Amino acid sequence: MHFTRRHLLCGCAATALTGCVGAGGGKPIAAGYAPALDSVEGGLWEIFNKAEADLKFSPLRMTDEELNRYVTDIACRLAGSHCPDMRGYLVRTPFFNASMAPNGMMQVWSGLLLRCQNEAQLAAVLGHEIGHYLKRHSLQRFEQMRDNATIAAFLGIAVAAAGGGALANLPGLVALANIFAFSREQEREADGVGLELMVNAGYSPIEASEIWRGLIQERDAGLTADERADRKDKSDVFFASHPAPEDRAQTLALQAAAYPGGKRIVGEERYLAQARAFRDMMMQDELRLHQHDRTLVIVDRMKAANPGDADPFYYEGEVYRSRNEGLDDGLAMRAYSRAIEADDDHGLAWRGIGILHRRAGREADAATAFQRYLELVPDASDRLMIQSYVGA
Amino acid sequence: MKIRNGMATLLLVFVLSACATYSKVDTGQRVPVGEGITVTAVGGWASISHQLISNTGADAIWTVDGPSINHLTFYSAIRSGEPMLVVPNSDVELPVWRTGMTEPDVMEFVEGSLAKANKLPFIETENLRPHTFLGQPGFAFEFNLVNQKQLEIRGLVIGTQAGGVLRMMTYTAPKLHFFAKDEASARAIAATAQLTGS
Amino acid sequence: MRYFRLAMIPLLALVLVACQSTGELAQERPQLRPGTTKIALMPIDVQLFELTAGGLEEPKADWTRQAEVHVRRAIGVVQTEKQLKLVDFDASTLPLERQKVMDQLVRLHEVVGLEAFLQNRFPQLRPPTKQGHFDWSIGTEVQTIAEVTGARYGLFVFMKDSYSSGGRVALNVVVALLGGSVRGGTQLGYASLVDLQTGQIAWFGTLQRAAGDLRDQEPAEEAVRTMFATLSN
Repeated sequence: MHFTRRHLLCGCAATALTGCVGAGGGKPIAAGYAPALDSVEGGLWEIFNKAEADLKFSPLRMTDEELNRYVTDIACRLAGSHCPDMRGYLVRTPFFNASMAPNGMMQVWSGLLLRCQNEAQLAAVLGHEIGHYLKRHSLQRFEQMRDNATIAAFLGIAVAAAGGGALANLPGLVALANIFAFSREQEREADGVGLELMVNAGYSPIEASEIWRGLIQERDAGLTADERADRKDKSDVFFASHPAPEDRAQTLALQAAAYPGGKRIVGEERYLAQARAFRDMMMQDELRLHQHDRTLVIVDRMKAANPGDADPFYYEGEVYRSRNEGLDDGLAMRAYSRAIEADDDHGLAWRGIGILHRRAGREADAATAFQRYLELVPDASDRLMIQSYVGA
Repeated sequence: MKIRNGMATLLLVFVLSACATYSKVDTGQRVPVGEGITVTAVGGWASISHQLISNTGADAIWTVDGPSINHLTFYSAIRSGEPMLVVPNSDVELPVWRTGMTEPDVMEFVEGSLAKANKLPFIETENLRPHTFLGQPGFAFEFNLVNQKQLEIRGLVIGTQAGGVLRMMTYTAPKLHFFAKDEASARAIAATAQLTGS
Repeated sequence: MRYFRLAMIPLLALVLVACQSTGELAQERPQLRPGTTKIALMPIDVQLFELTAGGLEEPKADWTRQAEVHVRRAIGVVQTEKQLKLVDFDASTLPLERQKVMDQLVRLHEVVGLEAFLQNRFPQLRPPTKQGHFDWSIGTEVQTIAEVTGARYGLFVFMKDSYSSGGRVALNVVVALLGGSVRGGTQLGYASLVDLQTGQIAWFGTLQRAAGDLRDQEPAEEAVRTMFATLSN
């Protein structure tokens, strides 16, 4: 599996060898496999080959070598001999999603990286996606549906995304990612395969269940009991196409318990150290979504994982400042102050404090905070504006 | 073939009925661009028919090369508690502007509005600075975004908040070639903006 | 942005077909000296689909491969007939950052090409600012293509083709009897000859109709010829 280098799709040689038209979905895929061009499976691969060619030079692609190598290594430990058949792409998009295309193109979105708390959780997601590939779920789904007129509109989306030369737009990516809206059975099967792969690679299987618990927490954040019940039915980029997370969390936990105990990898420190360099970028992308309650869940998790870290308090302040309702200014001020307590040189926290003071008309306090901000972040992108506030 | 979108249907009507889709805005011509604001056109622009933009939140949208390429958009009166953009038939909750916001708050408000309404995977703002608009102290900044076709787009925002109202003009175009082509013209038009009451 | 994206829906174009092919020339016409003016052929984008009775556009990889071969060969025929000198553009030798810019150029051309296509087809969609000579540019980043290939012009080709399956044809007849219409197979394409110094589109050819077949060499040749009909040296 390559996350960094271009990888040419070598369909031709393998095609000549297999030549099996209409090979069934659901049947396990052999390492090095590529479908015949004139098969339905070949057609499916072709769409995604085009989408993949498009993704390669996308401005959204995260090309950092170290991060790519890190994720690739995990994926390869899981995929074993199938590793060369899959190509992974880290995509800067602030939503929780990972996807596997039938041709082995795997996408991992930055919103997922932000939400994983340790290496085992990332491995659980990757293992699940690899499971879809190994079991050829896309093809299976397509074969089940292709004679059914009701899916016309549905696939139309994918074709619009994949055709017309304008490949891989975001709804297109979402549509392609969720195109086959894998059945519950398939999701369960992929969960099972993923769990097995992660255990084989030495990871702690209970983390697969934990990631779902985290998503449930986020989904229900800030909602009343009634709203929660309602929310369960509502669509979401991710939840729309997947079985109820409660069921999955429970099933995965039960399955995990069936594996023998012993020392297994969780890899929290390792994971957070890798993600650290991208955390601020991913959090800023998250903050732009203005989903305040959900973001606070992530912030709380971050606080728990890094006691003494100033950043989570700063992010908390940003959430309240952005929400800007009722008592939010006070909550924001308290959070920024705690960030400053943890790290007096936290420039962005000083910026937040300055903005809050200025909103309230406390010009002198604002000026002090802003001056501190400009000292600490001399190349700030709003420097000229802030200077005008300070009167410098 | 189902055309789900109201806008597409409307466009179809326009195509069939030969209604005016645009009106020309000549250089030197002073024209209203929403509530209480007029500007003088600099360079050749076409104003998109009001029926076609009524669902967007903007008060006027001009283009040089075509609606899928570049536009100059005017927001003449965003009041406290109101969003900048409108997303028809959607329960997307957009950020709202509030009186008392600082300019960094407004910049984040614009950034969040564009990101949410257009489901942008990426947007980043830069160079927030003081800038006079409508004869009042205001602000300006640039942004870079990646649209849904993964084309890089650049934008310029100029605005001012006074008297409980946020007034803004945005200019956006593909980063390659198009942004620079009409940037000077867009800035010049912003400089001619006047409040009609004053 | 959002509202403009909708304005581009090419379905409109598919619904309202008038003439099969059109061409536009910039004020500065292409200066093609027979057999000597080098033209860089950008990666061609061809996609073929089958329309099933359910209205499903099923991608056909084998057809697409065939069509790519046919379109390439057809471009070769046009090349001979019009005495063009084509060379392939291969971006893979460039550093990643430049490859990304080249990728952005192709994306920009797609957007510009579609906008030009719609304005060309529907005068109502043409803003008053675009009433004069055909005047479209994709900017001077194209000079990189000239540097890599030594070419004077770049040729961008886009084609999409879909065909009714047997069931679909029957459905067409039935729906037509009922007074409705369903989309049959359609062919849509555009090609641009871009000046690699200025980025100006010197010639722009379009193709659109409810017939044609890129799966066979002869009709593919005819389609490409039609699209290139207005290009002359």
